[in-house]
Order: sequence, then C-alpha cells, then structure tokens
Amino acid sequence: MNPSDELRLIEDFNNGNEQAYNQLVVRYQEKIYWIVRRLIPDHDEANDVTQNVFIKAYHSLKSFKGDSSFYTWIYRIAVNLSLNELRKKKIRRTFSIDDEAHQLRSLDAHPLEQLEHDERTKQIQKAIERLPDKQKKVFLLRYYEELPYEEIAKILHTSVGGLKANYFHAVRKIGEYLKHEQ
Amino acid sequence: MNNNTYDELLIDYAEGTLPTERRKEIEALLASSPAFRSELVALQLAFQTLQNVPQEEVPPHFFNQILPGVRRKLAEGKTASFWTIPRLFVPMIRPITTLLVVAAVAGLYRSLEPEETVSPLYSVVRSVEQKDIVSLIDQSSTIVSISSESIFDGALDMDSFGIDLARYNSESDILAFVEESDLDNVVETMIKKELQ
Repeated sequence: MNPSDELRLIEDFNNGNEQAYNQLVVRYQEKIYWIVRRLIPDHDEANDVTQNVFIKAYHSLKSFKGDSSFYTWIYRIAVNLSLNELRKKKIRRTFSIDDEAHQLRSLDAHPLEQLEHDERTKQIQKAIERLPDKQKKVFLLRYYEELPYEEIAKILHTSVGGLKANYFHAVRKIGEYLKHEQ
Repeated sequence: MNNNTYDELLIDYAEGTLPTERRKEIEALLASSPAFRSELVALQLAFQTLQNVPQEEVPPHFFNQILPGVRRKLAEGKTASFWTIPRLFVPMIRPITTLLVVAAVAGLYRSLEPEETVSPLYSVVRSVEQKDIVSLIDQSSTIVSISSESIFDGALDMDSFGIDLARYNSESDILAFVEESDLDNVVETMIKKELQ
C-alpha cells in the first residue's frame, strides 16, 4: 500500500466508509502489535494496548492532516500509549501485589524451556524499559523496525547525528544490562 | 571530532554502513586507541547478545483477532455509560468523598457564621504595622492596658485606647474625633496617616 492509497483510505473513512478503516487496521496491526510488545512484555496486555491504539486512531483520524505518513502518525500513538501503560503499571504495582501472585501462578503452568525463554525476553524488555524515552524510541525503530535513520529522524523530529548517538548509547546500555543479568 | 561523532561513526561501523573512506579512518583509530577498540567490542557484544534472544511468539491466528477486538471495543464504547470510572481511580473514591463532605460542612458552617461587625476606626488601627504599635506602647501614656502579646496574638482590644469604637462609622467622624480629643500625638499621627 503506497502513501496515496493510505490517504485515499483515510479520506474514505472520514466520509463514512468503515471498511476503509478496517483495511488500515489489517495493514498495520502486526507492525503495531510488535512495537507495543517490545515495550509491554505480556501478550494479553500488548494485545489490549494494540487495540486501544487503533481505537484512538479511529477517533483521531479526522485530525490527520497528512503532514507525515500514516505509519509515522500511528507509530507515535502506539509508543505513547505503551509508555503510558508502563507508567500506569508502575503505579498499580506500588498499590498491589496481584502482579507477583499472577507471575507465580504463571510459573506453575509453564514448562522449563518456556520459562527460560520468558525470562530472557523479560530481561530484554526490562533493559529497554530502563532506557530514557528518546533512546527507547530510537532503539525500537532502528533495531526492531530496521527503519533508515532518515525515516526515524522524520518520525522523532530530530537530527540523524543525534539519533545515531542515541542508538549507540541505547545498545551499549542494553548490552551492559544483559551482561550484568547473565 | 567530539564524543557524539565517535558514537555515530562506531554505530555505522558496527552496522557495516560506513563508507570505505570513513571505515579506513575508523580502523586506523581502532588500531591506535585501546579505549576506542573496547567501545567497539562492547557494542558488538551488545548486538550479539540481542541477536541470541529467541523470537517471541504469538498464539496461532492471533492477528486475525485484532480487528474483531477493536470493533467490539468501539461498539462497547458507543454504549458505555458516561459515569464509568476508570479502575485506577476506584480506590480513591472513599477518601475523595470524605474530603468533599468535610469541605461542604466547613463551607456551610462558614456561611452560617454571623459576620463580625467592625468599626472603621478599628480597621484603621488594626492595619497599622505591628512594630508601630509596639513603639506606641513604649511611648504613650494614653494606652493603659495593651500588651505586645495581645497584638501578636491578634487580640488587640481597642478599648485599651480609651476609644468607644461603636460611635464612629465614617472617616470624617474619626477625623473629627481625633481633632477634638486629647489623644496621644503618636496615636493621632498614626490614625491620620492611615486615613490618607
């Protein structure tokens, strides 16, 4: 789907064609899910946030002016909602021990290999979570999405040089964290 | 070159995207600087560690369920009550309600409390700086029973000045009284100054 097709779909949706919105969701659901999942380790929670990203897009598409690509626009929504969810989770953890109880129940239900896999994934996600917001965004876009720096610069409104420096520090910090946790 | 430039070049070098000329430049630097070399090794190790992480999985046919999920939520959103309270705020309902009740009771009490009737002269003297009144106490023979504690406690009794406050309700009345009375000069000056 090229940018003009996307703009046509958005226009169709804004004129009342719900099918056009469905096409946009199907086109981007997988990409958005993985962006969210890199930040939110739990599949069910990531699914919930992914759906909320598209719901927010549904209500905000009328304000989409086409200054950036649709992907850039919805990517920002996805990262912001994920970071908000992470912050809310931190607050909830302060008030409740339910999360820990849930984790213990999960341990009982999983085989050993799955546990190791989950543990490794959690370590990566913890390492990403500890990064400053800017480095987090750059890392996700560069490492997982493999976007060119020029594209990331457009999404984050920053210079390519600054991005590379951010990416360098993000990778170093994640590497150090993982080395320390091993 | 500053540190940021080195970071940018190392990232490009590690990702293999550096043009040949710059690559040679970096390789020369790597050969001559152990610190620079260890930065590169750390970066390469970080990439290696990340690559060893197994790919996460999702349940089969998961991506076929996102759109129906979104549609269901949108439909629910259209029928959801305006008064639905987010779960995060539920534990705060009781303390907030208590605070609101206390504030309402306090507001009601204040609204029913009779307003204090204050004579204009009383207001004038009360607005005088406390240090001036203390100085007045030290100098004046008119004031017989005032104490600095009563001033600082806000319990200044105007009877101490020998003035019947209830008689005066306007500035001109006060000025006439000041002119006619045998007030201490300090009190007279203070009152006139405040009325200017």
